[in-house]
Amino acid sequence: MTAETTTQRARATRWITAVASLAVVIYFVPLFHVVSLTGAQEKAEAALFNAAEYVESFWSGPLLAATSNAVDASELLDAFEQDFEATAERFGHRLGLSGHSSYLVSGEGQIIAVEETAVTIALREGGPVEVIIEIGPVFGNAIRDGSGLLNVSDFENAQDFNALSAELNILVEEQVLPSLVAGATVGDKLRFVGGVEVGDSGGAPAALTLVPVVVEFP
Amino acid sequence: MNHPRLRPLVLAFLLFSTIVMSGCARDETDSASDAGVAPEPADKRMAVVVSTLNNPWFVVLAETARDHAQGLGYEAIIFDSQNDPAKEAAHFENIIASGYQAILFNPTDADGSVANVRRAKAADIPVFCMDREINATDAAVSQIISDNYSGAVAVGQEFVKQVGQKGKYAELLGLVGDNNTWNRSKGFHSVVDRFPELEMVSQLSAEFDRAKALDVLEAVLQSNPDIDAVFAGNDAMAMGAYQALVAAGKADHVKVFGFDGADDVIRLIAEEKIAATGMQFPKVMAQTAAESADQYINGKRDFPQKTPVAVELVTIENVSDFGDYGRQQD
Repeated sequence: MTAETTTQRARATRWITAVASLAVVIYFVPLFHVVSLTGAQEKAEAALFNAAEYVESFWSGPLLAATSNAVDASELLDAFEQDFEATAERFGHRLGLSGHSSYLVSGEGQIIAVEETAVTIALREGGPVEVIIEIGPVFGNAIRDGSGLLNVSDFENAQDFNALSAELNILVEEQVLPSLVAGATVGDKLRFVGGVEVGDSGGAPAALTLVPVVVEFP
Repeated sequence: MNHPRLRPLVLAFLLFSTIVMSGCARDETDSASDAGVAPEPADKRMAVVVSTLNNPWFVVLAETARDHAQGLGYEAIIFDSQNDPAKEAAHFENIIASGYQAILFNPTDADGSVANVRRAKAADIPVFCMDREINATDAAVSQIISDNYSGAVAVGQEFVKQVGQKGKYAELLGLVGDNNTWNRSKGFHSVVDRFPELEMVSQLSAEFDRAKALDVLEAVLQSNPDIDAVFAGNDAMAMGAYQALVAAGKADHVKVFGFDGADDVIRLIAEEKIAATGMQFPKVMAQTAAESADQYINGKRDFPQKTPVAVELVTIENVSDFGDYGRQQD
């Protein structure tokens, strides 16, 4: 064995040791992880906000519990007549810098009319229509904002927060309006709880347009 | 190297160190180099970083923020990101190195802009988002954002009212990375999609740009000459769409719906040439952001993470109430 061969072997040994050492270090401190595309997609989907699931538990839990604390419709209308701004401040919920307040409202009244687009209700015997429940596609944020239970700052982005309203409105259409349409008869009593939006610019409203959470025929 | 036997080990160590550290070193290097040329920090300075100045609405947003900051006693400078996240990142590095006290920020990208806000936060510079949000609730001090979804629901309801429950329409989307684009589109579709005979024949991005909207709608009209309406995700695109319809001789019977409340669209609504828009309030948002930043600098800390600002529907019936990027009395 020549001296040159010995030197070459020693050099090779040192390189092998270096590469092996590097391999050991990288094994324990990996520079990157390889994951399957399917696994990554499943993880990303799991991280997405599921508005339907959220609303389902919100509806059956906090929202139905809050219906017992809803402001009475007659009391609200009377209070608007007395002092619109103070009433909005006391009973309403305002989303950011918006031009309207939202309320969770309850009451009982007599069905005055059952039309293709709405059921109208008088709160006082022989009185005028003071509550209107529209039948058909439900839009807006009356329940989400009227409940006062959901805060936009708790959601990562506005899309998630807006998706709540869309899901709540779907539940109203699927679970509440069908029983109203099926059971509403002129002259019957109707008990209701729901969300209401009242704009700042119109002053005290003569009637409340309500998106129902609960309708019952007592 | 004096120890040839150690050379492989040293090289391996250097290689590993270089790979590991390369991802971490960039910010420090950039910041250091910027710091070398940075001007001396001034006492009271606010930076206004805006996504683009190639759109009058954002010019109003940025200039109102700047003017209000100046009115509060700050030196204020506008940085135009030109809808380019790379330019926006460069602005932030410059602003951090220059020692500004607060950033009034209109982001280019809901996800991509988060890192810039975090970088400013790490440098103890509070960031207040205006109009557009970022997809994080722990980075900016506060986000004063337009309630686009609810505004677009109102525009969608007006769309059905004016166009009817049957017809063909085209949609022009804004920047696809911006949450506002999708909040508007989803709000609009949450209404219009309930009417199956309203058929969307085209949904294309014109990036909130008037000239691109003109080009896009010209192309749409080639393949769909019988559309009844156009929903544009902002007023600049609504103006471009209207221009294309005028050129094609279809402006009289194709209804255009916009979003923003830009002065030229308000004027065309009053002339019954554009059907409706959603009035955002850029001045309200800019003023609120500047005032919040001033309050933060003076010690206030309890800000709501998000403050939505309502969008109001503008039609021929109430157009006289609006103008100058808000209600007449604003």
